[in-house]
Amino acid sequence: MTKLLEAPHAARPAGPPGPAAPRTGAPITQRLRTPGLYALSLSLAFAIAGLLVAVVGKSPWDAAVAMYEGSLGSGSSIGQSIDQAAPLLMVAIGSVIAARAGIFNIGQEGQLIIGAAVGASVGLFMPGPGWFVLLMILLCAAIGGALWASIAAILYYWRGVDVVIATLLLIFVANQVVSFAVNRPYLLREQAVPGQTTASQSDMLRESVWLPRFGEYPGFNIGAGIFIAALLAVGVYFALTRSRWGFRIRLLGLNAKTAHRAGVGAVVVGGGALLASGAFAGLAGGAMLTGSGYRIQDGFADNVGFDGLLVALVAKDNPVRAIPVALFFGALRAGGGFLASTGIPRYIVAVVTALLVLAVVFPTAFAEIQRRRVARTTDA
Amino acid sequence: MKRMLRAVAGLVVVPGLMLTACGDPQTDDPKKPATKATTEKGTDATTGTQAGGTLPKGEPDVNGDGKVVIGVMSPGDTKDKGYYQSFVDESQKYADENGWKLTIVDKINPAAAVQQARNLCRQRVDMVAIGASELKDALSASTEPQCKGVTWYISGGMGVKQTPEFTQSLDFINESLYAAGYAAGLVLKDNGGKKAGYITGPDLDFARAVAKAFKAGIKAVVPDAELVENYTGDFNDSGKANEAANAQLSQGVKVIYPYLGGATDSVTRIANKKGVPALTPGTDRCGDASGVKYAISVVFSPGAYFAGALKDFKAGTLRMGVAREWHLGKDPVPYVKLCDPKGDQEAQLKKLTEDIGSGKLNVDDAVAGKQ
Repeated sequence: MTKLLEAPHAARPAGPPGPAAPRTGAPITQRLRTPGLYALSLSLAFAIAGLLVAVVGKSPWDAAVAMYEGSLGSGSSIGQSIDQAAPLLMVAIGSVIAARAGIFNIGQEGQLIIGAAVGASVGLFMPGPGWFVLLMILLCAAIGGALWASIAAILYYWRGVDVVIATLLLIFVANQVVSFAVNRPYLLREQAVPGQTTASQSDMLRESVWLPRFGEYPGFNIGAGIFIAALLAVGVYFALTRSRWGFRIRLLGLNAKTAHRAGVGAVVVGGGALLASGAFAGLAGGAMLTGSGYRIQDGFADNVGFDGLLVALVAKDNPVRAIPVALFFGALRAGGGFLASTGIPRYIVAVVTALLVLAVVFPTAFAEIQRRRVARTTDA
Repeated sequence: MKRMLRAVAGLVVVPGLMLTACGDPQTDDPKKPATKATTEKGTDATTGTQAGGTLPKGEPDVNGDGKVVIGVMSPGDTKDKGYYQSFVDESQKYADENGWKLTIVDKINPAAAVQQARNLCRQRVDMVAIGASELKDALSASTEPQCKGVTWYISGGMGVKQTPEFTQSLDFINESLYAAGYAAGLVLKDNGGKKAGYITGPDLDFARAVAKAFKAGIKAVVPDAELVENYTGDFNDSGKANEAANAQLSQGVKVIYPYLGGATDSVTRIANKKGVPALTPGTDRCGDASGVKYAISVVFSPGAYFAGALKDFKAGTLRMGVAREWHLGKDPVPYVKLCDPKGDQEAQLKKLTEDIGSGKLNVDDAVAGKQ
């Protein structure tokens, strides 16, 4: 694909002036470096994970089998992995858009939960046929996420507040806002019958507004969310590589000064990219709400926002490449859930899945650090 | 630019208008009032007895694989030395005695409850035991094919809509916490205090109900007593709980109730240093060997209720579709105990417990301020 798509950030070193040099094949050691790094980091992660599992008196082999069983061992497990991948992919697509514009939005966790809360409000209170309300839930969830991201955009372009800081801190605010809403009967808290206490959650959405599912439990079954996410991934890929909007975003991300001289407005294009990123995170919240949980609760986001960000990182800011990466992360989440149900303590499960995520992220992050180091050396 | 502005305005305003035009959510499907599906009053549960309901075949080995496996689901930390741990401890004790296997899944996000229940069913458990009503959504898996034949138990607290697929235990906040407040009032009267402290996690419906009943109980003994309430947002965050405890102690509270999970002992240690008596949130810890000293044990541990169900499960008489109520003064649990009673404190507390159990004192009216 185009170099503009391959280059994730503005810091990519420029080549020497003059005619392009003929391409030469990279040395074999260099070409094997990335697969080697993956093999090394994954081996290390599996070894440490096995050790931790053994320390708590469980069999590492049984744990590995449980991870497999929970993610790929049966039709329902595969379906579960795919379902888990759908919101991750949506978040990742949004992250890619922002990253392409040179903006590092890390507040997807907050944008996601705000999107879900807005979606839940629509789903619970809007009258109308199920299909229409479902569409409105997803649309309003996306708008909710975008509006939440717009706070960071306004702070950045109006007062120069760093986007990373603003989006990160807004996660905490978002969690508190949603917690407030699901604990107030006049907002989103579930209705209770007299004599019963209620939990910190909304009522369940009616079945007619749930995302369609294909297949029946315990056989292979998946929600429609993955199809929406995959279509969006392909659409965004083409929009980024083939459209004027995508060109402006990439131009802004690669060199803001050049973009400015070419008439690309940083506020409109960059701010728009941040809003789009928030919209995708919000949409992910809407998809989770209508695809599996059907109600919003404290802790609803469950790190999907952060994991989606990692999907984008591993996929090197390529929306299509994010599809298999999201599926891998989805399998990890599904396998982790199943592993917990075998009796392995929750904190060990969390560490094991985190190690595997780290193992997958490490080679990409390492390559990025190396690239930036080279860029700095070249600049100097 | 104008077109873009209009488009953005449209995207923001239209949903807002639609939201303001909200009406009856059930209008599109009058046959299925799904928004109320989990909250409306369920079929009347058979209470206080194990009659009625349905008896799963082959209890306790309901799947007939030659072994008994119980899957325990808990939303909290099962090493909190309190409410959540009691559920696991009791199950573990029973499992060890009978050679059963226990699979514990704790710290479950309520949003993932159904999936975790399915995962347990796929592990071929004979019983799924849910430690708290926060995870009530997990019960929806009870009708799914992979959970066919599995027995289901939930520690329902004030109640979960009853269906034929599960059994539940019910207890009553007003009874236990009014008595807890009464005991705290006795201690307060003895040490000359006028202020009690209550520290809990999130500002939840039941946490408010607990505070209300506790306060009413205190005022029954010390009418001009005051209850200082703190909601830290987290049952397990010791830092926030300690901060609240220090603030309350500096305000002069003379008895403190850490209605917490993992942060309970941390608060009690601070109270111990200041010589302020503390209450337990659910378990009997009078004479606790851990070095943390409690003055009052408020026992409403889900483990004690679960033990009753496990006993029936072992005997093959645990019926699904029924609920069992646990009343203060009538059943062995819940109860409130003064660890080091002075004078006639024990007798006064005993009388209150008997009055609640016999119905002589309508505790709901007392909490509501009608008595």
